[in-house]
Amino acid sequence: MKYLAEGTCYLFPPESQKRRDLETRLANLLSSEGYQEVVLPIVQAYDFDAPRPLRKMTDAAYKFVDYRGQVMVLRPDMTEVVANLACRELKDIPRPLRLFYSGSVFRTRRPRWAGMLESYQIGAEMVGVSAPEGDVEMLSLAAECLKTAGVLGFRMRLGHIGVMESVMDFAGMSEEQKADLRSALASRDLVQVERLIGNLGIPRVCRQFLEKILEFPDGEDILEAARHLASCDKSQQTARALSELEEIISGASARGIGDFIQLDMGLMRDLEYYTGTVFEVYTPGCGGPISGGGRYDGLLKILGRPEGAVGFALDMQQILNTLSKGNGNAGLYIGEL
Amino acid sequence: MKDELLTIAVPKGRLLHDSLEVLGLAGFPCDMDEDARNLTYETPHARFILARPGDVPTYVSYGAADVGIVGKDVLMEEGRDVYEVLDLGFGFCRFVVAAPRAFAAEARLAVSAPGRVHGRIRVATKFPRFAEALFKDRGIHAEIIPLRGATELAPQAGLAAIVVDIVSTGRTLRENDLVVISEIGASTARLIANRASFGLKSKQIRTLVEALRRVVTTQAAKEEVMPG
Repeated sequence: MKYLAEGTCYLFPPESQKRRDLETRLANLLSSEGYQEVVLPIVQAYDFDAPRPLRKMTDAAYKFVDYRGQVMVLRPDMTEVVANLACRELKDIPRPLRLFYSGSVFRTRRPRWAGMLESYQIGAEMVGVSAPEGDVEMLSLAAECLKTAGVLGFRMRLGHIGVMESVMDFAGMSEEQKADLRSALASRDLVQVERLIGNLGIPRVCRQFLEKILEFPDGEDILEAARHLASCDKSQQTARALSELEEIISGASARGIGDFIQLDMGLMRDLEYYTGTVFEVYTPGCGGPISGGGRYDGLLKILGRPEGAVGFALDMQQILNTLSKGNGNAGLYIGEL
Repeated sequence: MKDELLTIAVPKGRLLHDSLEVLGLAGFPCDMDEDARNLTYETPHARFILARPGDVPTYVSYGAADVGIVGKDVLMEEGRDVYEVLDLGFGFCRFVVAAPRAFAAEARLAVSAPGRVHGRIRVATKFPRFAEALFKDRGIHAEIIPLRGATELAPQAGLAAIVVDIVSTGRTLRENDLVVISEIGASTARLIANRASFGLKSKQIRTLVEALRRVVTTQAAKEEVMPG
């Protein structure tokens, strides 16, 4: 082998040791919290008929053809693999099912700050649990993992897809308008969001709420705006989603992680299968999220076995980079191995 | 967090003067010697870094700068893993497809009616990714030739049939006997923010955004009042 494949890298000591050490500590923590380890296959068969939310990931994945001519995919994400497992092989195991995993995922479209195409994750998923208990457990487990890793000053940005969706329903937006707004929020183009809101011709209370999101208000401010909107929405849809979110926030505070949480109602994850809580974790010294997760009941529904599910994954490489920050050459090792 | 000051990336060149002006009016003045070699400045209000326009999104997306000012044209080319927070209004230019006057009618057909013209058309541009997506979207078979600048030279030298570029006054096009055959969009300067800083330094960013928004609104109002 003469060259490294694009977007992959070697890890040398001491970084390789640091990663193993970190992984061991996190795995021990997850086991002690009642999560059982599953080892997942790296290669999956490509499903040409998969529904759109699933296709979005695999369409951008590395593909190759196996010896029979079947198109194969290098896993771009492990949540979907776990969800499949829960729906089939583990369908008769009593709920809630608590699983964790670690390994590489491969994405051809990675934001620039993320660097490598291969990234090493450790993650946890809980299947068969509804809001708010599952969400609170996941948020506090993620916070526990980050503390164990030694990450300082992190913030968990929390949003709720259900709240945004019900606001868009209440506003009477067409499917196309909704898709435009979702995509502008997901790509963080707030100038475009502002423009869309201005052109929508939606009820004033909805416009005010959406505009409020753009001001990155403090938690209580945006909750106040959301409550006001919910009181105008006669379908109660917004009120239901919002009270779920508020229960999650107060549950998280009761667990002592309230200070880590920062409410961001406009948060959309790039993965389309999230349906409730979504969160991303940020820390000084790293340009992008070091962890992310959320509730994906919608994914299990698509897979034909509707039940509640929530989970998160940590990007080990980003965490290691953050921990050894200060010098821009975190992975540089000079000397004999 | 021990470091509460914002790091602001400002672009060298065309947008620098206006960027420093609006930042100054917003309460973030920086006395920058525009000819000097110094690339970093520290003031009591913020830290400033002076970067090439195309590199501003890079500094911001990695978090080396918390916020930056950059033209929408650059954002369209350089990808969008940053928050695009505010339209600053200045630095207006148009994205256009242009062709030599003699070839204009043919070129207009080629870029607007897929299938009518067979074979591929050669396009010179400073915005290769953007141009690639544009033609792919329209179903037109184009060969994109990336150039670093002065794309108006390409048709004259026989390198490409048409160009995709930004124009502000249109003078360069006229002087090189090129005409606009398709308007694609407009670009103005934008305030962008790093994803992590957006939450971790939300207070400072909010202060900056609110002040800039006031400046931009006031300036827009002034322009409306002033004749001509």
